[in-house]
Amino acid sequence: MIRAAGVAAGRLWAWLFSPGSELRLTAVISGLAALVGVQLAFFPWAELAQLPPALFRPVPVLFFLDEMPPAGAIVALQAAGVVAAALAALGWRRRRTLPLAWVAYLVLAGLRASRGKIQHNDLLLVVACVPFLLAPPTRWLHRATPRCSVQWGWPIHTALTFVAGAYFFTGLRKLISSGPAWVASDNMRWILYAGAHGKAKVPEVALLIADRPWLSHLVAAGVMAFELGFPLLLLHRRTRPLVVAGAFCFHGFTWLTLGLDYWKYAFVVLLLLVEWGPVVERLRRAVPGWDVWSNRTPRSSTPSSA
Amino acid sequence: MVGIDADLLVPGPIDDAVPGGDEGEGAPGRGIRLFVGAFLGLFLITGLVGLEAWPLTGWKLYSHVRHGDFWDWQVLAVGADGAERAVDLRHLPAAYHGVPYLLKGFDGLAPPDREVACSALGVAARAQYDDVTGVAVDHVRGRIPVDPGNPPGPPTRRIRVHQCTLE
Repeated sequence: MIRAAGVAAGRLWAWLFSPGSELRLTAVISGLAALVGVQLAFFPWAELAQLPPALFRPVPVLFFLDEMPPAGAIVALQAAGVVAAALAALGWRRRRTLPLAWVAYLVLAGLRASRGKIQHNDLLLVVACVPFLLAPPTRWLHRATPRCSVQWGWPIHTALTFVAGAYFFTGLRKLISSGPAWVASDNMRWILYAGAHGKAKVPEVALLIADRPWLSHLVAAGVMAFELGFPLLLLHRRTRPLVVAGAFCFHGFTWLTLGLDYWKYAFVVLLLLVEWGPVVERLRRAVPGWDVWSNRTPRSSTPSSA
Repeated sequence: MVGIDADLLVPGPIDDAVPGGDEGEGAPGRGIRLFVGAFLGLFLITGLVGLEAWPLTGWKLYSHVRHGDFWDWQVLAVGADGAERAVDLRHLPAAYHGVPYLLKGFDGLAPPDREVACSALGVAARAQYDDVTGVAVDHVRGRIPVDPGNPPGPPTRRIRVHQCTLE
């Protein structure tokens, strides 16, 4: 048992530091930066300043704060983060702009989580971005090549490990806290009834399932299987499209029936699992004069976007 | 093992990578490997143990079994005539959206801290009602409605945890 665990850990470690392509890394970073930018741009962050100090409960990473910062400081951080995220998505001085955008998002999401409730819906994007903060320089998206190297593989593999862990631990926590009753009891029915009378976007869907015990058990089992099976589904290349589709169905379902916005989880899964190389290559072929524009000569072979 | 072309099982070029490229070029240094190992270790520990250390977490999303009957918290706006009206916490500014969760720790606060927190909730109460002279915080027991045509009924049990007068 211990030997098997050691072998598995060794394989995981070897996979983490196995080669990946520059093109895919550049595409993933651009996508994650854009996603961070969208999060920063479309939330009324300045409203957080209205929280009275007595109701402020800072998350560990913001331990040094006694109260919400003033609205002006929050807006300044938001603006800086949006600009930095846009530049990072374009590939401009990415090793500086991406960390700046990430820190802005970390602080603002931390403030949002300091209202008394752990905000899980920001966590996957925050954590998945961490390996890319230390990623090596790559060329801009229009110049990056499908050439592979160990230096370009580890950030995506590490982020994928976090994503797989997040889903697996969510299922494992259900199993540890509730056991089989999470599926076998009326748990899912009450979750959906509460959602239907709460923030559900389409309460009819929640009620349709909640009114049918057999369907509720099936949905609960499906949720548990998807979460616990997430790492296994990643192992096989052919099941990866199913994982992406499953993530969109799962988070779309929670949005419709419970009103919980976890769309960014699905987009993180999409960004990390899609093989962007062929997509970008196809795009390049479709754009007339791409080679001239991207100046793909030996002179441009040195990473320049750092 | 048959049919599995997993990256995990056969470390090597993946996805759109070109085999035979510069696979050993610029391999990450010891610092990167240490960082990856340490961060992954923290991620695994918090996930396995269920620790909350934001941005690391124990991933407790809907992990406990839900029942039809539940205990919740209610903030009441007390008028000059003593009338009590529930404050709808869902329709307050974004700053107050964590209040229902924050109240779970209300019991554990020291009396002076409770008074300060109760007064702070007065700002939220006054955002919905003009004539608020006090705030009450109740621990209530309710039942999730099943019939979509019926709104949630009144609490079946109510325990007053704190009441404060606003200035």
